[in-house]
Amino acid sequence: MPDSKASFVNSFSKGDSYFIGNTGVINNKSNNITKTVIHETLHLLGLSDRYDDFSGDGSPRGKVTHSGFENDIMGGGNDVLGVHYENIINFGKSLPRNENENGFQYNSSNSNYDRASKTGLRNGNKPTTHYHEESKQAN
Amino acid sequence: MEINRQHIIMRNLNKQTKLLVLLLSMFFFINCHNKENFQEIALLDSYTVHQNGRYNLNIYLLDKYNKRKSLKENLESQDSIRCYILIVDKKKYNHIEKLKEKIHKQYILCDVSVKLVNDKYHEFKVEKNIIKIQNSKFKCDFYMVFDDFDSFKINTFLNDGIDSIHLVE
Repeated sequence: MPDSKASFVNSFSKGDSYFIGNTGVINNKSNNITKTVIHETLHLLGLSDRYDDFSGDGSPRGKVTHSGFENDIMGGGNDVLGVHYENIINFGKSLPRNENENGFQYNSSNSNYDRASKTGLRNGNKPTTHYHEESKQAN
Repeated sequence: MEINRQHIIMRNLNKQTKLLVLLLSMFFFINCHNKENFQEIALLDSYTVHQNGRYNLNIYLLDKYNKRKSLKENLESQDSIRCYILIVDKKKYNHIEKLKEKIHKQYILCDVSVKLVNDKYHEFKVEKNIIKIQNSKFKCDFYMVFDDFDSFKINTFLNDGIDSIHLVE
């Protein structure tokens, strides 16, 4: 993997629903490997990136951090903002998992618990927005 | 007399053996079509993944597609659908987006060729779901291929498509 390539978690859609995958790649030449591993692991707990990547190849160029997430580990910093705890709880609640011949399978689209994860939604949820109430209305 | 009977039995046996070999050969060749490299008609859905800044392509393969029938009729005749999820480059993504815009559909119908690097395609992680297309429900196996493929090519754009695919469960 070239130095310039960013680590990532494979994400995908199934029809009109979007999912964060449970596989990905860590670039061990990352400038801050500890932060990278924590960032990618938090994806596996259901958290979305708080930046948009317009590079098309995952490289650092063309990244725009969502407003309010400049110091957040899923955006441009090292902190963990309060809104993520809510997302992790929502993630856990929205995990009806089925067991089939492939073992346990995630069945919940991440758009159910995290508005910012939905493709096309580029502003993320700011910690001060009424995220929870809006989620309830949406359901 | 006895020798003649034995001769006839042996001749018949020989015929049966030949028939058996023929049937076994036919079975072998019918089942040995190359599953790693395929050319089929498929519905394509390209999208950006803001999680990782990459471009995904979902290829919903429509087995046994009959070009004389309409897309609607072909969909009605499908038992199940296989969907391969690939990561494509920006050039391919833009090309597919232009085709989408041309017919104002989210999923476009194309004749595609795909060459998978993994020589046992069934070893890709598979998730089994049910999807709904135009009021019909289908079993759909999603193959998580991502980067592990060699080439993808659109042979022909069939100037048709659909608006939505809904994940049921």
